[in-house]
Amino acid sequence: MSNVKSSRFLIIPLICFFIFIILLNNKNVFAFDFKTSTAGIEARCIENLKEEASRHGIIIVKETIKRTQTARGNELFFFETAVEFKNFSALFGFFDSLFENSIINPYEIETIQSEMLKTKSGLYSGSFSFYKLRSEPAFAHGCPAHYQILKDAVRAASKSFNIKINKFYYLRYNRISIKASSHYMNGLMAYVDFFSENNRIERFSDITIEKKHYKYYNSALFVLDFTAALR
Amino acid sequence: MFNKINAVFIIALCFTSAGLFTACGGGVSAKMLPVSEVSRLARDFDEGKKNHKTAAAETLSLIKEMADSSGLEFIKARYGGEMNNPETLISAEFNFSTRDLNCFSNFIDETACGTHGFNLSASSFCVTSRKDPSHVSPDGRASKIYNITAVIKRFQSRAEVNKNLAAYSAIIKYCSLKYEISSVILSESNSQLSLSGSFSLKGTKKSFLEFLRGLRPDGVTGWTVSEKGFETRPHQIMIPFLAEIFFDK
Repeated sequence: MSNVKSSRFLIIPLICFFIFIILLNNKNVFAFDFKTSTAGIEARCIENLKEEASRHGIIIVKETIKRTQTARGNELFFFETAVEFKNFSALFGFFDSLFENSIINPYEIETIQSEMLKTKSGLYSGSFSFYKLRSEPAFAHGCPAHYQILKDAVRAASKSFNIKINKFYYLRYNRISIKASSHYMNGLMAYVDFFSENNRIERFSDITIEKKHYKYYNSALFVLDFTAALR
Repeated sequence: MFNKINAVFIIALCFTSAGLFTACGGGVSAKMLPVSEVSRLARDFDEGKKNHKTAAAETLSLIKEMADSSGLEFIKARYGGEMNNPETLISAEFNFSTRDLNCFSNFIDETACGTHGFNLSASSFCVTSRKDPSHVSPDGRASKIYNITAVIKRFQSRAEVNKNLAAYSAIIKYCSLKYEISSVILSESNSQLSLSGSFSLKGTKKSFLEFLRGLRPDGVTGWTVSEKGFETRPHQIMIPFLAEIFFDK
């Protein structure tokens, strides 16, 4: 009987000790408050984002973080950054990784844009922004599709239509705007057709196609500029 | 024996605790979508709809094809969004250039006749000319380039299409063959076709009036033709004129 009692005295401290060890190993638990707090989520999100950026060769030039609080309290913070990237594959590979690794959701992305101008480093400059949300908003159905439309449209331009993207702009829920150029008018028309197929978009807000003469190219260059309202 | 049971109990407790805390940790992070899921959602979003092009893209393609087949050189197309007018589907402004005004009258014919189902119609246009020193005609004069700005509309029904298109085309074709045309303007607001140019010995005011009387196109309500001065060229006298032809709205 006395053995049993003494073993009980042993068991309780041992349990406490093991629990302590587990707690010590599981940083999440100690960081519970920090992780659920806006500052914690923000720090972890930005850290992961920067890791992914460096993995894809994306240079973060300038960043702005703003704490936001909507009426519903779903928005944790707003992040805006200027980036430099080598090509579209690197840029969209970066966003794919962000989604794959659960760092950002497609419905959190606010804008992605680039004028496709090269900086001194020889990289293209662009920018993107997102609102980090606590939970998925009720109206988020189209967002993965919208991102996919942008990605397909930008990639297809050079791969399938032999046209050059000069500028693109994506605004969540709202619109995609693309400026592209080609030596062939029919390529641009086919691209507009492609973009409007399968009800990808609600409608075009504006389309302008113009023939321009550039001495540099020694021939005519057609420039397409369109804005499409998203569904 | 008892100690062994206790040890097993403690280890089991440790694993349970570890599982519990890991689960808690997992529960903290927000629900995220992997890329495969993003692609699937995007595909579902696409597949849920019929294969359908927007009316704007379809209309621009068609007008570009018609301009090509008529021999007009494309300069610019501008579609500025949907119309507030429920009868009009699309309105787009086009800029073309040509050396032969016949090409433009062919284009008007095409919009009137070659696009059944699309209900296209040129609602207004403006043709201006400029001399092109790089091209010299056989009589030694610099040839002309016509710059055309045309607003083409696509209507819901055929009834809305401009009924006077055939008349505009016939008049432009006749004038471009017979006279030297400087400008042609079709005003949408009052359906008035204005032509300016020069009569010559080959094509005089008399012949123009005879043409208008003989043609008597439907919808023409009247016309005025005024001449102003004259200018001399080797072997011919040119008389600048302005013709205004009024149509039913």
